[in-house]
Amino acid sequence: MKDFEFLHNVTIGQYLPTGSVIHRLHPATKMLAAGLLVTALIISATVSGLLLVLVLTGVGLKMGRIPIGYAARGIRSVVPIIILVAVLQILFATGSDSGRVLWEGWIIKLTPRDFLVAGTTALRLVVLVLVITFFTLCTASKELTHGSERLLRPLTRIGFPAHELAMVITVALRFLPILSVQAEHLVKAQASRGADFGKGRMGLFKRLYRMMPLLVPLFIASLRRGETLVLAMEARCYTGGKDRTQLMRFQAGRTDIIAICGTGLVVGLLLTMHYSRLDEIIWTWLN
Amino acid sequence: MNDPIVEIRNLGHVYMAGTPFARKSLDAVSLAVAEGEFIALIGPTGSGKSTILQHINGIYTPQTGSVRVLGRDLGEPGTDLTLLRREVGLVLQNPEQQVFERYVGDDVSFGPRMSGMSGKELTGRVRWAMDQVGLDFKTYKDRPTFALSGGERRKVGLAGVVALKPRILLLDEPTAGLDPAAHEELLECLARLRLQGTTMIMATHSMDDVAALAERVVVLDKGRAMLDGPVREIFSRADEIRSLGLELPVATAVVHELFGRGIGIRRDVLTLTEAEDAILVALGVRI
Amino acid sequence: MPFIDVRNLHHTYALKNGGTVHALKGIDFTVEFGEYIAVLGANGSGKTTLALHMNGILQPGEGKVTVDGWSTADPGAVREVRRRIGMVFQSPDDQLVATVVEEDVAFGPENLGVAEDRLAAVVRDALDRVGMWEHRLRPPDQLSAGQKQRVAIAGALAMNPRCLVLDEATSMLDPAGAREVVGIVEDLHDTGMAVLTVTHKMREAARADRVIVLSGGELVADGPPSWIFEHPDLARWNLRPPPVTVLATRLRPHFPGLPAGLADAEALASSLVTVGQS
Repeated sequence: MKDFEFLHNVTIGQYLPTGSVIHRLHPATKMLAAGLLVTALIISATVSGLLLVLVLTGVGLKMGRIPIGYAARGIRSVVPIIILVAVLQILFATGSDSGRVLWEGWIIKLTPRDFLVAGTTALRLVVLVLVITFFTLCTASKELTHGSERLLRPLTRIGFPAHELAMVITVALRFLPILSVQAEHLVKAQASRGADFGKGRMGLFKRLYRMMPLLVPLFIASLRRGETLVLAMEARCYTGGKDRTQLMRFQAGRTDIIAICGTGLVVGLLLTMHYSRLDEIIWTWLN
Repeated sequence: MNDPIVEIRNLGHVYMAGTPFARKSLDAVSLAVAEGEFIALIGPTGSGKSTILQHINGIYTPQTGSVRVLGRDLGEPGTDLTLLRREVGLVLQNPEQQVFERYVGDDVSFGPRMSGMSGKELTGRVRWAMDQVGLDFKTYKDRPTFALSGGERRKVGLAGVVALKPRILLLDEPTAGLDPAAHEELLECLARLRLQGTTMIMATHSMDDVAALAERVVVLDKGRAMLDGPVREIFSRADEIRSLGLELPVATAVVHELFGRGIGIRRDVLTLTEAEDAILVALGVRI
Repeated sequence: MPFIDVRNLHHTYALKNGGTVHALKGIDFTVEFGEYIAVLGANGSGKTTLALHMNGILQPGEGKVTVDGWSTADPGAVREVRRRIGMVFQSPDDQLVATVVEEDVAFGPENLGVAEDRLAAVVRDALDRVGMWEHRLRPPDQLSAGQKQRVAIAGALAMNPRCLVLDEATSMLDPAGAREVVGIVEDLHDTGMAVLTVTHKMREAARADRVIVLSGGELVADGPPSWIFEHPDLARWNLRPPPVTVLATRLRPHFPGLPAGLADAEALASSLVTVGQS
């Protein structure tokens, strides 16, 4: 039964060490690149741009030596959301009045344009999930800490607690797998005591309802863990970021410059495609 | 032997199947349990003990091979696992961490409430279950669960499963981490439950617990059942047990140490009294 | 001067409902450099509270704890106290800070400001001593519980302490993991490290030079393990003698030469062979 293996279908948040060029990039580079791409994907949604990013992500995965099928598994968990959004778009999005009408009734009016918009939205979600999955697959959680500390370092001059924030991220990342295992145990324990978690997809809401009692023990357990961790950190002389040295110093190199420039180029292209309405031109031309 | 109430045939299981994190946990295990038996599953960590227990109450359904429990085929999609789990109670490792209600009485009554019990019957059942594990009903029912000691919380966790009056009770490391007094009390409680005729299967690292309680031992290694037989017989095969990195019950270990030092001594002993007798005979004090 | 000096130590916890728990009631003992001491006690005897006083995580309510001459109550001495005492806690999961083994081991020396060109060597040395160097790049949640405790020990060692304090460090481990950890602790003791191990496992206490027993917040006995294990008050302290000791006690009327406090099968067997032949 897969209901009890929480981590089974979640590729988002998993790290797959292959030691590739991509994996060896400076964490700040990877975070910056992923951040820029995601922002660009949120601003612009041209089909041509999305396809471009899709292909480039494929190339990136190849370079990162990550099996494409494995990365794509992450999409599976968001398929219901994608379908829901697409259907809503088709039914209720009001495209421009021009063009043919395929079917009309009640408040619903279907035009070929609706399908285009829905298709774009779905594609965009797929690409977004894929880009984020790609990022997590090639970035170890420890890198997130170092990356964010590096990216935020300029802000320390105005008193921003960059180190402390990085520490918070580390602890959160460290405890995520522990808590998920504990949640799994709690569900198993409740199921073993005859709790009915519902079967299949029908019981989604019932299942969510049944999950509620898990939150309290999980919360108490995290507090208790937190207390122990504080003791352990104090015992090792932790007093904050001041005067600390660091074992890990990441060096940015040529590949980082190439990666940032490359990403900049792609983002630039995406925005150009968006603002020059390239899709519109292709669409009119197709019609 | 009567018809077995648990029948496992060639059971195989892979965790996180289909991901790069896949890990084989069970490899063609077969096991039959008759009503009323007390079986101990022993083996190094990761040998598959917990996975087998979680198959018997339907937390996992078989990936390969088959599991039949109380006449139901757990591989059949139509099998009602929720109903099954009310007859097959599983006490997971560290049950004290799975206590989730605020008050002891509420936590113990969770299972029976889920199966629709209420009123006087429910109170009676909770009182009975708490009696079984040695928690006085009046003293403990309104105690907040967070204020209990580790040993008390563990008893509450156990009572919560016992309250379902399961025909089969599965125990995963029931005594691990308890202090000596709490350990002793828990063993007494398990012996009491056994007298009621409950079929029990216990995964444990404590060989002294096995010697004190079980009739039959199944030795697992790397997901395979290596040895299966009466306790006395299995522990007399000291070399095989030790080669798997396992220990012997203390009494057994002492006579095997003497034998290894050239003393002709009976080696099929389990308890301290038996060891005492064997030593006195072997050293010529008693005939 | 002893390495650790505990004088008339009292500790009281305030409860949320306004009540108090008097967890330690006037404890007196000393730990010499290089000594190996086990602190035995049932749950609720105050042994964890005592452990937390050893490096100033808790402050004495009354009395005094000094480590290498530094008082744990002196805020200016906290760092000096803590770098001398390495702590290993009960739960393997809740004491590792970083998401990679080597970074976790580096955490202590990083906090002490050890020069960056020396950090890697410090980490390597600590991981080598617990046999975890080959796992340095793995995230802690992929390790076994025993391995996590070894990493925790390495994290303490990286601060170059003079004494390790282990608070039930093996109680959540399987027998194999517990054996690994005890073995490492003994090796460290052989190289001159003082060890204070808090436990309720008699078998582990048997390996110490000296055992201190806590019961109800009081220090009720302090002596060699062999004397403690056959102490008539053991049950009153909610402890049980090791099964081998029980067997030895029962056999002694027939073999008066059996030494006191035998705690493991091997020792009993070899004593029996010697005594039985004479």
